[in-house]
Amino acid sequence: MNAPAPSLSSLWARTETRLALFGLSGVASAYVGFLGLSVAHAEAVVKRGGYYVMLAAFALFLHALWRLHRSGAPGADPPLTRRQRVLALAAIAVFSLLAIASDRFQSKILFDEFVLQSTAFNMHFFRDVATMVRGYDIQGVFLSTDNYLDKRPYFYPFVVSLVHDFTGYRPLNAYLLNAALMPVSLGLVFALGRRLAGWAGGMLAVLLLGSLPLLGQNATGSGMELLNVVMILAVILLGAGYLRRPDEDTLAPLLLGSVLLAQARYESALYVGPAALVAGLGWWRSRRIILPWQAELLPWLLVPVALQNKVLSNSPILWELTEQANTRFSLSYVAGNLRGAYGFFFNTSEEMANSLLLSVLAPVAILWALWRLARAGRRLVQGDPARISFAAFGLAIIANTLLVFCYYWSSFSDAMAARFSLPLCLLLVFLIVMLAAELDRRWPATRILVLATVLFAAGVSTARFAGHHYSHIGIDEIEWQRRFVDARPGPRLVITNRSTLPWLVEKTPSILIDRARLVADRLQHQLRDSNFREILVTQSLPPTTVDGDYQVLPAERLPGFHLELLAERRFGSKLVRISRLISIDDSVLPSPKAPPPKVRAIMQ
Amino acid sequence: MDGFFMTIFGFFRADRRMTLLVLNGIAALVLGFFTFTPDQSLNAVIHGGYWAMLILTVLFGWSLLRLARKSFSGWSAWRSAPRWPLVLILVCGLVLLVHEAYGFKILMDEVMLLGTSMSMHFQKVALVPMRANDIQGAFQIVAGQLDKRPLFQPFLVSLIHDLTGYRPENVFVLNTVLTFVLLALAFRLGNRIAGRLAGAAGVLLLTGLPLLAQNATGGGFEILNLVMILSTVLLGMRFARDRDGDSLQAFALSGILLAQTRYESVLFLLPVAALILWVWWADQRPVLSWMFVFAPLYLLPYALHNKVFSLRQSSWEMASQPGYDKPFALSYIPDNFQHALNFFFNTTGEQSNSIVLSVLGFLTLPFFLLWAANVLREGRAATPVRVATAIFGFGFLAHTVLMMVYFWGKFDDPVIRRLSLPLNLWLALSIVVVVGELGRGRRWPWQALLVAAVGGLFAYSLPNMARHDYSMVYYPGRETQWRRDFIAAHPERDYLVIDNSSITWITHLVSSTPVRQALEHKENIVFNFRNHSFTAIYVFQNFVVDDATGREVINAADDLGPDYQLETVEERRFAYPTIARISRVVSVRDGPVTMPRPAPSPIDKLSPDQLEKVRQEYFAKFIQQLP
Repeated sequence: MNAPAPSLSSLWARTETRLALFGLSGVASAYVGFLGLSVAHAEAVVKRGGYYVMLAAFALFLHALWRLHRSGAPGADPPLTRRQRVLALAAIAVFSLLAIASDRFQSKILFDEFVLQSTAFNMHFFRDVATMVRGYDIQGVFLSTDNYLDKRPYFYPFVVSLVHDFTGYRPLNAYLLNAALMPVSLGLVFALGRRLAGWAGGMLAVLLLGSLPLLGQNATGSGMELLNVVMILAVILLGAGYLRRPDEDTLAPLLLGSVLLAQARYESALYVGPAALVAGLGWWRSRRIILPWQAELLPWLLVPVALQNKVLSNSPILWELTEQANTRFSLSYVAGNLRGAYGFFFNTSEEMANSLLLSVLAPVAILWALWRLARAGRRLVQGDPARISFAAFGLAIIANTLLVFCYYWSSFSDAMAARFSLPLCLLLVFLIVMLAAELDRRWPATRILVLATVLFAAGVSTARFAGHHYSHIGIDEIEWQRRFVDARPGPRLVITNRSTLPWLVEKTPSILIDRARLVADRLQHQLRDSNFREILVTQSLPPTTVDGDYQVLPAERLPGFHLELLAERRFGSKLVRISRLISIDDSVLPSPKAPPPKVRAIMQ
Repeated sequence: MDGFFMTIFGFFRADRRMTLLVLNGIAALVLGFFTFTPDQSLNAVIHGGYWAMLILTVLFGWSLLRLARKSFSGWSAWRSAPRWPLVLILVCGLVLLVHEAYGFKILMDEVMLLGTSMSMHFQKVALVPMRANDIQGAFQIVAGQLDKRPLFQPFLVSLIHDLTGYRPENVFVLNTVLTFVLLALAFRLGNRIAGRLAGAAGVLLLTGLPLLAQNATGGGFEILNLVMILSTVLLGMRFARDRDGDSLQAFALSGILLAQTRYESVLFLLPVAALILWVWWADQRPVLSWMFVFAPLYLLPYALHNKVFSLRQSSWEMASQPGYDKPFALSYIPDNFQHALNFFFNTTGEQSNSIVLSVLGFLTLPFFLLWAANVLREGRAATPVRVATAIFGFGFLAHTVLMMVYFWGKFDDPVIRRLSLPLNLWLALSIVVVVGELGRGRRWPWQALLVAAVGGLFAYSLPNMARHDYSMVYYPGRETQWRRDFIAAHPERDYLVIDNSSITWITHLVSSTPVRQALEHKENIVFNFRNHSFTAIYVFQNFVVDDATGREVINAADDLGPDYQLETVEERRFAYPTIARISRVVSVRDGPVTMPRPAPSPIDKLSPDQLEKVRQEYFAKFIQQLP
């Protein structure tokens, strides 16, 4: 007599089955992600389906967190006293307030942040992972008429689009999200610091990171850095929780968190590695293979990452290479980037968003960490779960930093690239916290450092936050143009010399000056047809002699276009001008195409 | 005498930290007055002033926390306490705040304080910004100067800037909060002296003082000064009662911060020292704490900062009051006394006084002094509250005497009225103490006082506060508000203003330069004008209308000369015969500077002496110009 066929549930209960399914799922998804689709198909799949995959990953992550919450925190830290809780909350509140109040809600990195906002726009309105190139108000609806799949990971735009979904579309939502993420990130910093070095360690970590202007700068921007920081911290904490109590409920949020983290910034895909390592360590520590059902879906959730990377690798125009660089990654960039890193960390002027205290303490902490790692050896994997998780992700942060150093545009002393140092700063902060905790056995090192950091924050960081000289890289002129244009009655078309994105996210149609030259006939038609109340042109005029003598940049001239000057303002050393298009000479119109054949001719 | 020395020696034997205290005192004297040149001293204050204030404020806050932790008797005690004092304080605070618009009332004091807070916020240095511009998108302070005013108030304002972002209005937030704190402290003091009714009387008497309302809605340091005086008195009472290290250090730090709130408040260190010595004498042992041992060194910033007066004679502002050659003299007393009488007893509403406070205060003041002398004669038998009140009474007396010997101590002058605030506070204190002594368990004197205070508030103070003639008559304050309105109407702040009150614009993040600079460095204005560095260049000028001819004569200090062509944008008349005008620069002539030539005075307005002086000057030039 044959044995009864095993039921599906009993099959599922068997570890080998789940492992086999996971392997199959991995192979199939790898094929789809890397081999199975052409670049054009890959772009189409991510554009049309990326949103839904992200939605699924996010929903699964929230569900896993909910289950973790219901199953109880893995292990319990000693409870905080009322005084400790009040002080920690006060520190988080003060540094969040400091960051949010000291700068305006405006873009810090041009035009990255507008690209992200534009992607969020399309995700909200059309569920497309796409960035607008052109957009027009057609019968009352602002439609994205031309768009492309951008290179940037889209977890942040996805979260912004969720905020739009729940509160209505407004570009401000992107800033409010980051402002809200600031206390969340400091809260997680406290939680991790506390796990690594007790309450005082948590406080020190909050103070060190809260007084870092680079972190605070992002609280009033619309970039993806803060979400990346939040996800790194969350995943390290989830890793620590999993190692403390390895089971399905603790592993699922770790794995799903790492999937989302991989889509928070380009290089954050690296953190999938330590997440897998921590998962394996958990198996080893619990002497069993733990594979929650969500793990089967993981490879598929990562497919859009692979497809997007495929599109990026085959679209050199997205690489934004300069004339000096002809490849994105090269060891030849390392020396220059190292000099840039030194220039950033040890700069004493107010131009950099650095923290000298962190920079001075960090080398000592790094040396100590290397010495400890060398001594710990094999014992490390049996040690404190929080420290193991931190060490695993710390190694990924180091790999992240090395990767960044090989990138052609990663000099931390460049205000546009300084933000790439944030994960490294995180690592340094916690190394200092752990070193201080070690020294506490002999001296009150943490207390002294807390006091020193408070004084440093009050005396140095507050001034950096107040001046925020590192935040004025081109955005002021865009904000001025937007204020000026907003104050005029619409509808209008803006012919811009910079980027159309800042206008499009505000639902103002915009084209570049280059395109304006090409479509002069259409513009002339618009002038006659009055679809727009006015057509505005923005241009910049750099000084051409030591005495000024400003002239319009050749690339921004519009020969044959008659303009009326409306406003002019200096930004740094250049002038920015807003004019109104009055008329276009017929001589600059493109030559007319052959007239369409007459109906009678067709009939014949 | 032997007994005195034995007591002193006994102190040193009882606590060896006494030696350290004395050594610190000597070190503070040497470092503060003899070691550094005036330039070095000012540099130390510029770069270390912020840090000194930060450390002192943290220490003061910490010592207050220690006291609070000791005396906190649980929330149930708070819940069972009567609520009406809180309501009274809130209502009275609102009364003080609602009648006048917030603004910078006293020039240049309030704007200078704001300027210092701005530099403390942006650069952590104690400088008033003199030159500042939008250079690369950020408004950067290019040059500044150490102001003579103490640093505690600008420091507190800079803390608000730090936490909420820079905006000039933050100083109004501080003064609003401090107004409620002041009333709460006044209630507390009255309560300590003679019970809750006395506290209520103190609050109502202060609420009836329009001068307080004027300053509560201003940008000055007067309210903070009053808060620190009351805080010091209350902490003094606590120290006299508890006689421990924690109370001592809170009391001493309050006095030290008070000394760094207003120039003359350093006088209150005398009663602080006297009360400490009285406690030691009463206890026959020195009460010390480690923090207090270093207290003399905490006064170093004050000593170093004070050298600004020796380095810059102009700091005394003697030029503003012609005919004076010394800042302090006994000969000023009769004149100042008359002005004080005019301030306290003027009933026209042009003075921001409180008639009830003045009449009752000056009636009770002699009795208060007699009472204070008696209390001090009681020696160790006197209660802590009475001793502290009596000793600080003499502190108030010293302050008043100093004001009377000050060359500009005219309390009826719109700029100087605020210096009478401590005296007004003393009057309120006198009334409460004397009525308390009269009352001794009876309620009717308090009821009568409350009726008088409320009656005075409704019959005299409230209508005066509503009209606030005393604020309107000082037109530079309204001119400042007009500047602020102009800034609000031009929010881009991308223009340059040529104005002798350039600091007002700079503190509002608008590029500005004084007229003299625009004249002496015309080439810079020409360069910026030609290159459109600023969207527009405006000029703020004052004119006086000649009543004989009706001609507008420009204030000589505001005259840009013939090289600047101006077009009037706005014009306001704040007080006859002055006109304030904001113009736009239409063109600036290139080439050598043509300095403005003042219009000649009509000959019938020149005295014979002036005519002779002019003749002599002309003759000297005539000789020089001979070919």
